[in-house]
Amino acid sequence: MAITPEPHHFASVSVLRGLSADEIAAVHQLSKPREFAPGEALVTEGERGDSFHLIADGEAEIVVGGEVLGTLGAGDYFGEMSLIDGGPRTASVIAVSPIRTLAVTTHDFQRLLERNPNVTRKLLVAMTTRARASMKLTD
Amino acid sequence: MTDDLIAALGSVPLFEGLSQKELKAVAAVGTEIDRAVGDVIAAEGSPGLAFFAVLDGAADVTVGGISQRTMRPGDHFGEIALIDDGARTATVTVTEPARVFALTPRNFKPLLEEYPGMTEKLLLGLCKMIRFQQT
Repeated sequence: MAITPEPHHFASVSVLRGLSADEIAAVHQLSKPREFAPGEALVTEGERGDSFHLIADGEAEIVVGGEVLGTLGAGDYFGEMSLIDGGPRTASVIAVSPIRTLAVTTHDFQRLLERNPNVTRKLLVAMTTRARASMKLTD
Repeated sequence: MTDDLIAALGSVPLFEGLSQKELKAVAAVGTEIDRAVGDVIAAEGSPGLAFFAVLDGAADVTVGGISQRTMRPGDHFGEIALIDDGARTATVTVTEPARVFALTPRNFKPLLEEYPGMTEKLLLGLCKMIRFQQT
């Protein structure tokens, strides 16, 4: 089932939680449509992450070390950490069907952060939730 | 403010990208306190002083009564709470007379305005911590 990507889909991205409606709209405006054929890699494990994808239509598999860990479909997203740190991909995402995404490049997102220092601060707070969830930190 | 304190702060993964100037600024807005054996520096589930670095002595970190680790000079605790004001997830009790550097979110946050590049460095530090945990 396809979705028509709208700003509110970006609002549900965990690291963007806390952004205002205007800020979410700005992120949505940065996004560009991308298409992939079945079997094509949307992103490849280990490669430098230069973009974030929100899936509009189609299905893809998450592959780590050659093993399929799960599937993604319309409304799902990936690559949000790369938006911030451009770090290496922790998994490959391979199209199972023809797939359409809305992609935001790290480069464009960084320029948005430069223009909007408030957004950087909000990302910092949103990231602490990720940090606490992913770590058995005593803090 | 001592070199030991700057070195302890420099070893905090969240502060990894901070410059010497920024580390000194962090050191300057906290306080050093002396605590006796048995003193509870932080109590699980409660708010309070956010970040601690042990400069001298030792303290035990427990969760639900179970010891997790011992903090010794150079060790730290609570840096995430500097950003999100989160409640303590562990109890920290002094086991050897201790000198501790303490810093609250209230005193830390103005630094983010004063040093504009700091927010981004902390953000990258957090990402690194998350990624490291995932490997």
